[in-house]
Amino acid sequence: MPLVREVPLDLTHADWVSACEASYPKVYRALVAMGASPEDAADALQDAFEDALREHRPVARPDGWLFVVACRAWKRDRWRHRIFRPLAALRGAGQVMSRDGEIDLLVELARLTERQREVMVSRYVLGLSQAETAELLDIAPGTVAATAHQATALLRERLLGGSK
Amino acid sequence: MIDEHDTRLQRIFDERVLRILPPPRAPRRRSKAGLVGAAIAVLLTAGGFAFAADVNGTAEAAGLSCTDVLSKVEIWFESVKNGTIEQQIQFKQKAAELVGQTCNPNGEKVPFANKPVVPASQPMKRPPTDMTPECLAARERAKEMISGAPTATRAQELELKQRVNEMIAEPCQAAK
Repeated sequence: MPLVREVPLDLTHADWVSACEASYPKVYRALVAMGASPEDAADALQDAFEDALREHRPVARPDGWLFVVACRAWKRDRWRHRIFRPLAALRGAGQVMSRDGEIDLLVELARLTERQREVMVSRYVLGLSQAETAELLDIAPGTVAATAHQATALLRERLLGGSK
Repeated sequence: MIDEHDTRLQRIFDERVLRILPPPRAPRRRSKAGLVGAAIAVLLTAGGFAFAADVNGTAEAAGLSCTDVLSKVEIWFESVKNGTIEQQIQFKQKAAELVGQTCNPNGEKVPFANKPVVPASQPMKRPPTDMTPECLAARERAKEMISGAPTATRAQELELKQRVNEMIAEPCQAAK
């Protein structure tokens, strides 16, 4: 189910931009769930919007497209921060903290691997199917299924106490 | 492929994620370090261009626009050390000696001929080797006449000049 071919042919550039605007809150939340600070998430998303304005290909899921582009921008920024401000990056590493020992979803997500986090955020925050996630993240559908299965089991255990 | 989706997990995600309030869209933050870095880069670039222009200008002023980069920088350094106009005239000569070459009007390299510098106050005199003793004696007499004769007016001066010329013309003409 390719994302690009699903789009109706009469989608104009204005429609595409307004679809991106509409998915802003959802993608912002997805980036924060990925571990970005609110400021970094806003900056990365702004970068993704600039790319979106230049994008002319029809894309079926603007939210998924924005998420992937913003994630890349955020990771690039993270590397720059690590190179130029190593101490600040170290301080920022433990930024996601639970409040008063409360079991927090964001803390538990931060404990997953980056691939698991990407898959879980795509599935549960953006609401993408496994096939859409696989295409967006450019990985095999089987890998998405396995990764989602492992991550779901881990989160279930940590958040719901292992109950099925 | 089974599309596994946990509804309880979805509820937890929805509850937690909806607590995150997205800020209104705003232009990207520009970090101070980035601005400072950009300013330094601009300054360095502008400084580099200015330095290159100054080095080229100095070499051109010294008539050595055709020399290589290192020599130009050496010339520039020497010119910075030499501040006054007199020093700069000397410097121009020194620069040509230093590089061992000079440039012709077409901008081509020409080897520097190490000619002695003759100050303007002491004009070069023709050595008196080709003069006869009669001519030298006539010149001495003319000198004495010039120093002794009054030359108050322009007419007197011209008359004296003519007499002197006549006096030395015959003996010196014979020598030639």
